[in-house]
Amino acid sequence: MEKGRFTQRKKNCRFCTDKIKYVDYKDTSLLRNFVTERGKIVPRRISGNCASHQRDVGQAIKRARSIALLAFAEER
Amino acid sequence: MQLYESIFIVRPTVTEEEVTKVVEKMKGVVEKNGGTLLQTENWGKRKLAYEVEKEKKGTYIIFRFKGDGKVINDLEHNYRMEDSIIKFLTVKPSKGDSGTLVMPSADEGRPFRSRSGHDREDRRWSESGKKAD
Ligand SMILES: [Zn+2]
Repeated sequence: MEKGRFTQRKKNCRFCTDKIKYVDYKDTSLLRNFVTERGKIVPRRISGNCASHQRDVGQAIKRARSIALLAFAEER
Repeated sequence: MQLYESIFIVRPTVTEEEVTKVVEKMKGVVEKNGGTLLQTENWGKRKLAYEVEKEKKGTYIIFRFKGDGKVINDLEHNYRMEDSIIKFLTVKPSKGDSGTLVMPSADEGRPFRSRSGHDREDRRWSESGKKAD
């Protein structure tokens, strides 16, 4: 049986790899990597972020939205 | 004393002189309440991610200061009273924050890039205040 199809490549948290401690809500070019085209936050299973960095990214995105640096998610 | 970062957006129709006046007034509010201003930055006019009070653009001003909750209350009260301010946000930067102010890139959907972005032409000014403690 072919196994490869289901074994997912191990995704590493980019922030842990880069030793980034603070996710800045003003760094929109970074944050845009973690929102979909509609503006939704990319889930951890896709982004590969660890729990704590995913939380930081989520908080930063919400802050960026509230000060109009990022758009709110579009309704379907 | 706690470190705060406060960011506010001035209506784009406001002249540069008026912006300076508003900034000076807000600096005064911080200082009057015993706060110590560490950094002030003007990002100039930027496109907003969505319309705010019917405006598509706005001038972003960022303050970093040390102070207590009293400063925040008075500052936010003054933001609300000031017609030229259309939006604001105050946060406590967390520990890992290097203190460098990263100016967001204006262009949409750029791929991952290093934290530079300090080369925009419409950046007006940036200054560092005296260090606290
Ligand atoms: Zn991580």
